[in-house]
Amino acid sequence: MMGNDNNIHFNKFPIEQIFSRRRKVLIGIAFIAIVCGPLIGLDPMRLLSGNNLKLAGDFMSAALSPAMDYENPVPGAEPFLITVVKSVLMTLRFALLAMSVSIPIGAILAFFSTTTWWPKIKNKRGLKLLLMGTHIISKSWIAFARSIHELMWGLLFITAMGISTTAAIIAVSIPFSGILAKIYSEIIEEHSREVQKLFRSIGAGTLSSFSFGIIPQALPDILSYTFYRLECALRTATVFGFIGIETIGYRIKLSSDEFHYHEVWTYLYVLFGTIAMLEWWSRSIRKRLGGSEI
Amino acid sequence: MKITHKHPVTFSLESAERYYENTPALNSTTISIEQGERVAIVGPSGSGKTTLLSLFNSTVQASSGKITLLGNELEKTSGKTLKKIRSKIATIPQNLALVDSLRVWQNIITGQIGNRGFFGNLIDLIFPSKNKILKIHSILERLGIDEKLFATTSNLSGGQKQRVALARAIYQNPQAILADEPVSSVDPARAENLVQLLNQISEEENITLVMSLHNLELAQAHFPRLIGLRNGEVQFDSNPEELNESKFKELYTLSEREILDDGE
Repeated sequence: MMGNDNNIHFNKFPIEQIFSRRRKVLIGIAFIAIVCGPLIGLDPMRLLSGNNLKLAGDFMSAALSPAMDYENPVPGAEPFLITVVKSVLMTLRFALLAMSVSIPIGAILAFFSTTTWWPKIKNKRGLKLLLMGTHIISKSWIAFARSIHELMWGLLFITAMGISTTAAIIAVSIPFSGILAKIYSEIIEEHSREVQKLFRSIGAGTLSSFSFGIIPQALPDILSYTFYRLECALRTATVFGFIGIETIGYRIKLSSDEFHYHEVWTYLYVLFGTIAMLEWWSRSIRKRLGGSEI
Repeated sequence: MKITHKHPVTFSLESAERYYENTPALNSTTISIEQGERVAIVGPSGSGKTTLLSLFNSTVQASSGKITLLGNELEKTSGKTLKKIRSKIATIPQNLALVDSLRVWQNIITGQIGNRGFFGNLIDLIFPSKNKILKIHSILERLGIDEKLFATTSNLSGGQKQRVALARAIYQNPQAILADEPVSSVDPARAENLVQLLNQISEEENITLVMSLHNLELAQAHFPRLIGLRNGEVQFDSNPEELNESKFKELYTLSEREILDDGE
């Protein structure tokens, strides 16, 4: 009996199926990765050479005992935990400022890039041209703004304006407003137009039927995505610290350069806590608005 | 022959036709509905019931014919006047068109959306006056769901949502209510209850009620006038007592072709 079972099992999975087309493609991709790795200087063995493994070990073990004070205290310096709180607040301030510029610009661009609110323009050529014009301009600007990463914009504006928070915020706001506009307009277009149609049928104007028929339905999803972008803005603010903006990233870089890994972990844990708090806040707002809790 | 009416006419179609890409949805139709009348439109799917209701609030334009809404001939009506006319005609669509994320009172307050400007509507939705909330409360009390005033709409049952849609229609303070199969997705008891309630309100407030229905028994039991539609043509227009079984059978017996076409 057992022999029969084995035969059946073998018959179900003939050797050709083991090397099916999909598997061949996966094996091909893995082969290309192995071959190309060394060409771009990828060398995992470097982790094991010299002092590197020890440094990696030190860094990981420091995660278990984050610093509560400077690892190398300087007389007269403000307490370490005050510095941590200040740098988190600075990062939050940066992210909130960038979002407060990006959200209204994104919302305006989203409004002009969606056709959901358009009135009936069958016999109004001038209005049709105007709406089409603003639609095309908005769509093009959104595509352009999104196509360049905030770090690239950052390098451009910091070169032009020097290291300043203003330059960094402009740099973040350009791609962020484009991304927000794209997602907002997609969310708006995905929602049912039944309420909007009903409002029009009972005499509401174009703007009212759009604003009160579509936006309240879309709001939970819009808020959810906005909170996600705020998280992204926090991470971006951290990264901008590495190019000189005084956010938590700047502190992480200073501590990391001095091999003060316990300090680095304190900053990382506080950053994680801030993002977790934002997530909790976002979830409670979405729940109150009756949106998805994902 | 000139038709005379005892009461002002709410809706009037004279030889009205509506085509969708050369396919007739409503053939030359002449119907007149007086103020305060209660009319059920019956007929199989695809018979033109929704098209007829859409002509009554002018969300669909007739391909030909003369249409008069609340005493205004549509051809001679400006866009501004049309908005005013529409603000006096409430609609209860099949899917109810409620915003689930809003509170019950917020959904109801939008009944007045056609009478207010953008900022007026915004203020109503965010900071409603006490009088408006009291008025909404009294409507909900009448419909038996006043305890749901501040509830989130998504938390209501199907029957409660129907009443919220009805409350929104009443809050609009309309001259007419158009209801497009509003009871198609609830059990018979709830369906009967809502039809009864709509008839009662329409009778008490002298509101014209036009409701499209699949359920013939409900239509016969609650409406003094029935209009039967089939293939975009009026098959009968009379009170239920005058109609015999064969008329209804004729209306709902579909040819094989019609069954395969399956509705609107």
